[in-house]
Amino acid sequence: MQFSDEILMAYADDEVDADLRRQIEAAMALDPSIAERVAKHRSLRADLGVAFDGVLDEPIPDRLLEAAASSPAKPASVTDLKAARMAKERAAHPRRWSWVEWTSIAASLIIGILAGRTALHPSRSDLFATSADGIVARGELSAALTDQIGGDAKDAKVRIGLTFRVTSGDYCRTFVTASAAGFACREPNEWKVRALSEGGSDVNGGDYRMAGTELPPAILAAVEQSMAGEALDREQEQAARARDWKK
Amino acid sequence: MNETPASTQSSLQQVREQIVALLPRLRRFGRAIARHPADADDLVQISIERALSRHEQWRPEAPFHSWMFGIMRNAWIDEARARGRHGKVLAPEEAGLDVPDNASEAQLRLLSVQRAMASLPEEQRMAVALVLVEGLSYKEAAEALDVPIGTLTSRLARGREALQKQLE
Repeated sequence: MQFSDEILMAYADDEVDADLRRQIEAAMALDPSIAERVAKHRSLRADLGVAFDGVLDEPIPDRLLEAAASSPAKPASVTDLKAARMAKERAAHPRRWSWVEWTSIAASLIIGILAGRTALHPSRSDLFATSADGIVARGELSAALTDQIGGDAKDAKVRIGLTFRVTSGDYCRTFVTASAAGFACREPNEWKVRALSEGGSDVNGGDYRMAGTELPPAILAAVEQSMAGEALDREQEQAARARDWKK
Repeated sequence: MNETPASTQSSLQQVREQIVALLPRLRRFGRAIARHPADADDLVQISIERALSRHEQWRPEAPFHSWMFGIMRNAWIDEARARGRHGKVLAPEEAGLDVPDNASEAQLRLLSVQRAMASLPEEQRMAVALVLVEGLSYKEAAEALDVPIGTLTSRLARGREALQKQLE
């Protein structure tokens, strides 16, 4: 009986099922060359053990013990913000998340951070309205910004993500709708949209919806630039909502 | 999503405790992939910091060592890239692998195994380090490397062949 090297390696690594194990052991008993190949794989493992096990008996350097006892770094950079966001996403959607997805989502979005312009034709939208000095949220978007706790409404038309404060102390919240994503900040009587990017749920509906509450990188970068301190946790969001998002 | 600060605190504490228990093995894995002892400990330190700042990502149902070795693997790739020496990282002549004049046969063997390991392409070295040095199952190693099992076994097989050829 012939066995591939890969199968014999798996046997040496204890990774074959009982049936295959019996077949291999029977073949080894009949054919010493098979036994020899297995022995070679096992002796390599033993050699590697000798080469690297020494460190197990060395005293652990203090700096590593100190690192393990230290406080976790606060999320401050874009990378860490993304990581924090990903952790939140993973908790919400146990499915795996990858850079490939990011890229395809980014490609499906026509990214346009607004500087007071009306890329989304707010006059024709029931979620946005133009005011004298920019765009404000209206309708369901305004309601969601005021009432929704981040990550709670996965299937809603408007989904709220992160909540954070800017240097002025105003509260800002990220949102994703069927066709756009961005963030808005609370002003005395309204939610002012500070960044907006157009998303084509009609162009790439499936993928975009699947990624759900995820934000386009341009929006994430804008959030990172604007945010003062850390994003609010759930309890802080609830407390801020109870105060009607007043500073 | 519904984690309260109390459970966040205890997950941080759990991650801390498991890191400390795993430290000797983290150092061994570091040596197996980074080779230079100081580089290896730097890598362990960076990985501990990353693990603590992302402690909420660890799911108790997944083996802690797979998660932690995965963080080390990513940290190593990032570091090696940042230092512009991806691939064959350090020359065998560099510190940590000096051959003593009066080396015994066992020491020479040990050094030649370390050298052979260092000469492997990054991906194969990771697979060999996780399965043959750290004793992870194929499934755990594939999870730590974030690749399908078939990819893991083929890297492992190629790494093993290359090592055996060099050590013959």
